[in-house]
Amino acid sequence: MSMWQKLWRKGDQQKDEDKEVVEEIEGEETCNPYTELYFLQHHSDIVRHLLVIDDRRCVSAGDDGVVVVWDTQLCMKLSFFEAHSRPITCMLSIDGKNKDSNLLITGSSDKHIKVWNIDQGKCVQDITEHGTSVKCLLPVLENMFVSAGEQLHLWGEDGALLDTFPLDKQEADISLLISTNLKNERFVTACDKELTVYSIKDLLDLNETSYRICQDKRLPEHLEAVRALVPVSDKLFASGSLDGTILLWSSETFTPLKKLNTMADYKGKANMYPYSVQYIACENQKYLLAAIGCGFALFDTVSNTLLCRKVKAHYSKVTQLTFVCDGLLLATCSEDGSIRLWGQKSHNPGEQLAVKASMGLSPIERFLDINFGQLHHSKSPDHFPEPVLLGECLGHCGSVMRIVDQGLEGMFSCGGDHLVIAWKNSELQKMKRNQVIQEKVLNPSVIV
Amino acid sequence: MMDLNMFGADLPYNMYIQEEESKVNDGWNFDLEDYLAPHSQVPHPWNRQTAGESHLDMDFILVAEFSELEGPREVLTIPRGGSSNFNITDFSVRIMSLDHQTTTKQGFHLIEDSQVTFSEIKDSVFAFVHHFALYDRHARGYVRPFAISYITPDSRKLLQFYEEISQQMKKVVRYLKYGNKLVFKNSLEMHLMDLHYTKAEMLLRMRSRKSSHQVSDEDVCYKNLRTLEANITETQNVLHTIKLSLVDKKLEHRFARLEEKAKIETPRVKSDSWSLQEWEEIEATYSVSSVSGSYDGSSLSDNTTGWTLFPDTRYYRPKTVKISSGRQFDIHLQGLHELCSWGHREGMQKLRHLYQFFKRDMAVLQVESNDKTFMDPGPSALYFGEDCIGVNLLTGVDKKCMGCHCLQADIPGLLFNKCSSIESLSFKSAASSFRSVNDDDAESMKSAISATGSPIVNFGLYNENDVPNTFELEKDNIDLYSNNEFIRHLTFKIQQLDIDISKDEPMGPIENAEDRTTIDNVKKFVESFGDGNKERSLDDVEKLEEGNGAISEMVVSTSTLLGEDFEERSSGTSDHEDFTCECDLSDVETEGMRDRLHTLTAENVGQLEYEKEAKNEKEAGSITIAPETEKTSVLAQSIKNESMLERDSEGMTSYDLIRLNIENLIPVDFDSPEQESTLFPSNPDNNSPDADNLACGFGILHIMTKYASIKHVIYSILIGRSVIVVGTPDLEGEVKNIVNALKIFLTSYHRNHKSFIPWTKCLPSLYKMTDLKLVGVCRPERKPFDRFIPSAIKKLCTVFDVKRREIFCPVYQGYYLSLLDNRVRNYKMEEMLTTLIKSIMVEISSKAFIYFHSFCIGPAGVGRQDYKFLQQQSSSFQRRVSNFMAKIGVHDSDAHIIEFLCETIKQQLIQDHFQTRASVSHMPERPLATHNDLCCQMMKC
Repeated sequence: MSMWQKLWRKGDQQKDEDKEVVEEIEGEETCNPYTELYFLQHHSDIVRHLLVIDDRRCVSAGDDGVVVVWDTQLCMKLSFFEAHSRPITCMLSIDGKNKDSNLLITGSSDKHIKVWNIDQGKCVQDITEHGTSVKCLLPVLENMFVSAGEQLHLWGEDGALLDTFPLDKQEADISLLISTNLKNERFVTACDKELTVYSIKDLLDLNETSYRICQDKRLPEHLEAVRALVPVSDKLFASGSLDGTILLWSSETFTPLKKLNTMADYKGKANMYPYSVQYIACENQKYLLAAIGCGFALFDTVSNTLLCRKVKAHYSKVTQLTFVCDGLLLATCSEDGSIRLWGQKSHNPGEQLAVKASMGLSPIERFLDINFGQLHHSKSPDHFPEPVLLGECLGHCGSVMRIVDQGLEGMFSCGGDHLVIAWKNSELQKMKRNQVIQEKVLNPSVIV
Repeated sequence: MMDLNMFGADLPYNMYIQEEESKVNDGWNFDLEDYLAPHSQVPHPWNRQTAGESHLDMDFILVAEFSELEGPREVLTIPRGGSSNFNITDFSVRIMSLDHQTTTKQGFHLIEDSQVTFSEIKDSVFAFVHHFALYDRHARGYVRPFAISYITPDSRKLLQFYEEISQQMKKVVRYLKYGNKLVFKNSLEMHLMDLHYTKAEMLLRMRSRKSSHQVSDEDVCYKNLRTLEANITETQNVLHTIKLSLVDKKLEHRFARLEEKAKIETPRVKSDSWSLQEWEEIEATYSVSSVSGSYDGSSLSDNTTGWTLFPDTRYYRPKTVKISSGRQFDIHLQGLHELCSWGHREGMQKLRHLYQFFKRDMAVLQVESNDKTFMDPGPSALYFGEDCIGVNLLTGVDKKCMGCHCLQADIPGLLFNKCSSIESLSFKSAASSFRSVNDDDAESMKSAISATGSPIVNFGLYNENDVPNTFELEKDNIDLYSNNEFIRHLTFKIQQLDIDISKDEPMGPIENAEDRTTIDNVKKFVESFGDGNKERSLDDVEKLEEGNGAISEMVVSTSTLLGEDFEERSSGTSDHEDFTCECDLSDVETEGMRDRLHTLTAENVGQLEYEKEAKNEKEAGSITIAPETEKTSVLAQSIKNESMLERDSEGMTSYDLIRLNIENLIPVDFDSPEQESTLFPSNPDNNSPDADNLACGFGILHIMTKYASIKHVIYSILIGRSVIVVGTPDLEGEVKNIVNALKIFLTSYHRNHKSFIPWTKCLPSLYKMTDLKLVGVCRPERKPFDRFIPSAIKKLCTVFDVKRREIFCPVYQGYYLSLLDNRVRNYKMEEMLTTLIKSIMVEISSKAFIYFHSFCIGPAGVGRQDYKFLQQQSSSFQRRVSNFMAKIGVHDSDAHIIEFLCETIKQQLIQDHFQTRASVSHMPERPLATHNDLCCQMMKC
């Protein structure tokens, strides 16, 4: 063996040591409840957004500028809007004026904001005054909304432009928006590394009320671009950035309270940012679920502890995570095209899950297999074992962008392969088909 | 030059004529007795037409045009000449005078079609007229108005079948118009290039002339240039409008395919005698000067491909055009076939079908449309493969006749598939239903008056065209197995007729077996039927092996082995040339007939061998088989019945005899490759296209014997798990054969969506697996197997690697397929195995029937919302299912099969429900089961 080969070997070995092995699942998956999948096809480009409207419908939108309304029970297309000529960047579902209709607001990089009536399947309004590419939307106060991109705009209920806040000359657009209090009058924007707080003031001029966007405060910068911004409770919000830091902020004083998950060498090899925070979700107003690099972690914001984590959950970065089956399982989706289901190891998995499900517990309790009382008393954070891979949902052939839980209707995912996939339980579907056959097909009088 | 021109422009036309010609020639060209040959015209008892009263004595189709040169004129009629005592010219004037172009828009625009009915009660002439416009660069306003009319003396026909006629007319016109648009677009593009070229040339000339300073000349030049500029803009605008409307890519591909096909086939210049009147007309006026415009000689002589619907404009050499502000109206206008190219061919073909279909009497049409509902099996029927209906779950029995499928089962599959095109509009749909011809009409034909059902009805009514079609196949030597199958079906039919065999029929000549065609044999066989003794042994065998292929039955009844030979056979020699047959008849008097029967079967085998020979060009050895078999059959006469009795006493069951006999008649030695080709006549190496046309399930015996673990693959198919058969390019034939054989288990064998692909170069996307259940995939040699199959596919589909003989699939543990697997060894005849498979499928289906009615739409149908959680609901349902399955005696893996079959039915019912509900425009998606609960294993086979 030549010297060169030896060196090469050594390098290889080092690489292997660095790399934690990604768990694989073999054989039958008794805990995986998603045994039937439906491919919902309509999009012709990457599907980036999934939004649940009600228990029967969800909406998907993507880079092809098309919005599709799906029936989640029957898994069929209800309607579609060829909404925009450029990718749709954000979606917002609000109640209509009469509260009986669902309105959907879409923003796109074609500089349009469009308002749709989902029930009637038509465009209610086309707003063109935004002027620049729309990046995010946020409902504020009552029936108003803010759109952001290069500038901030405040829109009234009927789509009238109420105010514009010009931003300073800066390189990046506002990419994230959250509101930080119940009244929705104060919101935080994320623009590259910087977080800024704005509020909406109503000025009473004679009889007319006019609204104004005011900048309240600029917050200390993150080390890298902010990737996730989430309200935790009335008093708290969290932000996560590319370098892996998760900061907890007070919603009252707007000061950083706690820094979670700080990494020394955050850039990693070839600037890959292996610990970047892609997504943060909040549970019970105090637990944070974060997608960090190829893994995920669960934090408690009250005790500021890491409850459990999985460093290598996927082969590629985790794009989103959510509890499914009422917290019995945690679903993570990744750029590697898979959706993985995580839970606690048990000797008799199927049985255990069924028993656990029957108890009136919250998702976090179910997932950690412990009730809150016990949780508060437990001291050591390593009390909880690493979650175990219980199932893998393979169906996408590109990166999975979003997953949403639809309760008994299963889970919906969308991805880079232009597909929306509905993951359902085949037993439930069989029951449903029996019902449909009995009620509709075999009983002609019901046929409309 | 002229020839080239002709070939180019009229390529589509020639193609059509060729087809016509072949149709003319086929017929019952062998000598049948008059009464046996079906009549071309079956007189029906409800003829309402009273001759003399009407001017019109038959229906016909008239295509008329409003010519800008001559005014309204007829273009063609179907049938040629139209009705004898009917003034076509007068009629065309009348229909063309209905001006349908009511738009007032300025400039060029696309003209909508219109349909009107036209009645002349006095003469009792009723017409359905479809007005449309074709585009021609040389015509006034680029538009040539045309009208197709269906003219009939029966007004009720138009009323009753208005929808259907209207639909079909639209389809015909769709072909014509789209072909025309493509032609028009090409013509404009070339013209535009000409104009640009002329402009450039003119500018060049002007520049060179500048020195001469001739003011007046320059003036003319500018004027010309302006005209030219205007022409260019106009042409561009028109081209833009046309291009926007060219959106039917499907049709475009179809035309492209036709053209491709035509290019491959060596063009034969036809004599003009075949042509229609329009053809003659064109021919008469055809001259080089008349084909002015862009398709003149210069362009053609440069371009070897000639005139085509999809020209490559890069090779077009533009030329100067004469500049004139006005349009010239004295030039020859193109004929319909020139205007529409391939659209004309397709359209006219369709129009002919339309005519053939609707020309029949009202009563016939009505009966057919009523019968259609019976022929169309309901959504509650469970299919396996293309011809097996496991069970009808009897939902909606009140709406549809449940017995319909029985009828279908009796119809010989081949005839059903290859029904004549002439008699029925639905020909295409019928053919494509099982052969998946790329015909976009397959779906739309549902609305036509005779969907799937009519071929059968037609067969009864006018079968003169049906059978010859089959013979035509044989003549073309397409597939000796279809030939074989044909005989099987024919003889099967004969047997069904319960025909007695006459004993005093003289023996037919049997010496020159090779010279005789099998048809002759059949004929002879048919002739020999008269009155006489019913053959007992035949009946016995029938009871034994009911439902099996006819050949086996014939063989069984005619010849059995000698005792000594039997010994030899059992010791392993399977050389079929040296066996001797004997007659197992107790009745010596029927010997003549016996021999006859044998001759037939022996000759079939001989014929098979012979044709195989012709195809594969092998050594001359096996040609001798046929006469050899003949001799043995003669020998058979002389042997007495004692040996037969002896064997019976030895405890040899007649079943074993049958089996052994078949073993000898049809050599099925799978170990030797040269014998293998008997089962697979299409040599796998020569990329046989025939493999696609083989009957469903063909080769199943071979596959099941060759691959040990195939039952697990079958299990995968039966639980709805997609099966991917992967093979390297050299295994194409084998992969195709596997797919073809396993097709028999497909439950989703549907005419509208293809549930299998015999061979494809790239792996289909996962989302297509909801429809595709059986796919043969080519794996490039250099790509390793594990990298070729993505993990998602491996998880959701069963993968069968033919090269390494490995299967990755859920393991089957159950009764039915093990039973099948165990019995395979007992079968040497594929017919029997397929029958066994079908019977097993029927048995499984019967369990599914019970499950469906007693469980699914029984107690399990009641929605249970008492559990909040998904897992709880799921596991409680699972428990209930397994309890019920145990009650009906289904265990382990079989329960999954039955569950899947039931789900298939449920999905079919729901789909049907949604289809019939017009208010819903979208359909629910079909699910793909992941089978997470089943453990997959890698198995060797």
